[in-house]
Amino acid sequence: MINMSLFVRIFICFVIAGAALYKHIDNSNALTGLRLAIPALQKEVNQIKEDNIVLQYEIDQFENPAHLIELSHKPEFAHLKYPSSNAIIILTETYDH
Amino acid sequence: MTTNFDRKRVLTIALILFGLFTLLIAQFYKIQVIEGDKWLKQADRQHFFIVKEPFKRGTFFANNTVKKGHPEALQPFVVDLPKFHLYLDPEAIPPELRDAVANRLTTIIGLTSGERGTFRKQFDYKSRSRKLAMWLDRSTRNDIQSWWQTYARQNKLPPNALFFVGDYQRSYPYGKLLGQVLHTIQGNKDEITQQAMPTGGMELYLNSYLKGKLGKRRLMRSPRHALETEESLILPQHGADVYLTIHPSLQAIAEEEIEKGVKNAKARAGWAVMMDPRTGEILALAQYPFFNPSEYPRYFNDPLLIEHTRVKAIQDANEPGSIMKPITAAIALKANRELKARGEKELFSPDEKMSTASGRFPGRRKPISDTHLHKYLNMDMAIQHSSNIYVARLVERIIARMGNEWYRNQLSEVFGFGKKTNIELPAESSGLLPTPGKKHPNGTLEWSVPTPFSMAFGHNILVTSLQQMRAWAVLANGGYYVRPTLVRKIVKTDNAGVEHVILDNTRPERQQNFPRVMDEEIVKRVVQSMRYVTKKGGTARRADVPYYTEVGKTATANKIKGGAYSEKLYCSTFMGFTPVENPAFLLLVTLDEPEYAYIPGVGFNHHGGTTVAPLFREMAKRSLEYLGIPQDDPDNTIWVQDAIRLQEIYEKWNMSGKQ
Repeated sequence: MINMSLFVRIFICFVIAGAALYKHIDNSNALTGLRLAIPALQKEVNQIKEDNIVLQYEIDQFENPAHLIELSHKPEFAHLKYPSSNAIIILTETYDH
Repeated sequence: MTTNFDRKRVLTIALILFGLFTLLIAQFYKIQVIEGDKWLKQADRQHFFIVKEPFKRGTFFANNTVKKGHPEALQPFVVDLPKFHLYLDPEAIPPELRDAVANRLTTIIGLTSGERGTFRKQFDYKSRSRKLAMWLDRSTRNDIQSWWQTYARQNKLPPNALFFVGDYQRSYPYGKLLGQVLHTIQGNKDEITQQAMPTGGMELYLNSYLKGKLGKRRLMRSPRHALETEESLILPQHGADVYLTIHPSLQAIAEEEIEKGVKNAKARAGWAVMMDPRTGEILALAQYPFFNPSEYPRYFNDPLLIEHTRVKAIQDANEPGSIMKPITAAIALKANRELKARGEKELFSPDEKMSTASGRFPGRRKPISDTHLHKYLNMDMAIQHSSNIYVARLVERIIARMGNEWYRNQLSEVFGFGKKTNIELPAESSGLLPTPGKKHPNGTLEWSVPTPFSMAFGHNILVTSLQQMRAWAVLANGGYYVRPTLVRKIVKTDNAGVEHVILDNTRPERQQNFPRVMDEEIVKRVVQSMRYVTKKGGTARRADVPYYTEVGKTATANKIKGGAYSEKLYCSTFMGFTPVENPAFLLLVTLDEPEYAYIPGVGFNHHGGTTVAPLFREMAKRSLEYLGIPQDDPDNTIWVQDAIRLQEIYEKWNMSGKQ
């Protein structure tokens, strides 16, 4: 019975140690996987940032003041007027508690 | 004996082994310790390579603070877009495949038939690196890469026989807008420093702020670029951003109007400068024909186009002509003030009936003349009718009572003539303010007896448009000497994202430090005289801005060609500010060499009041409306009665037979 008890305790120790080791290796693998993915993700983020710059550039091209003035000369926009500065009210942000 | 022999043999072997081991240790010590750095570097070179990381050149941002309620988003005048250069290793491509590769690449890139010959020649150079194409976008790069990977594999070519190098291209979302002021950088960078080479303008003047520093990145020679193959050794330092005073919409209005004006007047060129007279901030600086920075090689390779790359408002000094007359009146009033302080009789009274029938002045063989004969004028009439004789008489009295040096000192110290404005642009002209006793290169005196009489109406003095703006700002802002500027702020952002303000022209102390150079009362009196220029009887009725008050003055200056005044070449200007109380801006419009012609019912095409005055009116009207400036003359009736009364007095004084 004593030998059986010792065997069970050793077995449990091995199981716990094995599980801990497995968990550690699994975490390490997951971490390694993430670290491997970083360069690719970084590259992707940089590319998205660069694409954003190009898109913003295209928006700015459309919003070129000369182009907007050209549009304002068209009959469909003839009803639009510049507001007088007296008519502009600037509201400041407030917070209600 | 045998035992001794064996011992000796064992000892010898042991010593040899020990010696060899010592040598091994010594060699190990030499490699690891003494030459450790050397071998470490060699190992690094074999496993890693270093690439330079490009920096972003600083950006120019528009001024979004002028218009109330303007959106606060930053508007860049120039953007650095990521692009790619395509390189070739010609020796890696066998001659029999070169035509096929070149043809395929020219199709993908979209080269014209004229460009294909030069492109194909690059394949035959004995070199390991030839630049095939510049400034390719990402999609073109991807197209080339996807084709090349397959092609290189099929034909057993090294994959790196074609390769790309990333770079940033200066790009202009607003196209030609503000082209001459901004300028650009050359397509090729300096081979050694890898710095951009500006072509002129603010790119050149502010290059030390705009340029950054290259970074260094270490890459591992690994086909799969596995874990931690990249390491930044030195982060690139991006250039500082420049926040301009130019408002993009006001600039667009000015450019549109100046283009129309130059075309209508069949002029050689034209420019307009709009400035806040209180801060000296330049709100618009337009010049036609335009300069498109994206097409800079076309301008620099054509002798006819290259002149359009210069900013004429600061580089060309011309005789200002009649816009000098209000300045002369202000100096005369200042002389009055000084004489009164000394307890002496004043020089003149603005309401004095001064004889202007004779244009004879000491030292002049040819009398000074006006466009029409005026027998008598007071200051209001003289400015309204643009009389040369009246202002010359004022200066005659100034010289007699105050002296040449005093008069010159006023022009130099109060109005800044002959001094650079130090605007943030290269090659600014300081103009020429004559100095008594000094000689021209041809040996003639700069300042002779009749010189001050001519300077009274803007002859014998050379002034840039921006110097005129600075001088007139004294009249528009109540007597302060401003420093014109194109820059509000220069801000550098470090790699941690922290902003460092290098220059701040928006701080209130800057404006508070502008010196007062003229009493407010004097300025108000001169401005009062200018009110009638755009009203009935004035020389610039076509400059009357509807629904707003304005004051201004025309100038029609003969150009000097071959050392003599040209009869048919003129530089016509109108300058003024609006609204008169608390002006939104000071505006100068100039047409260079408008066609010499008579327009029936209107007048001479080259006169400032004919073609330039309406340009001022349109530019000012559209700009005021855009800014939302409240109308201060909604019925267009202000000063009309005063102008009629002035006209009645003028007629009374100048009617034939009555004096």
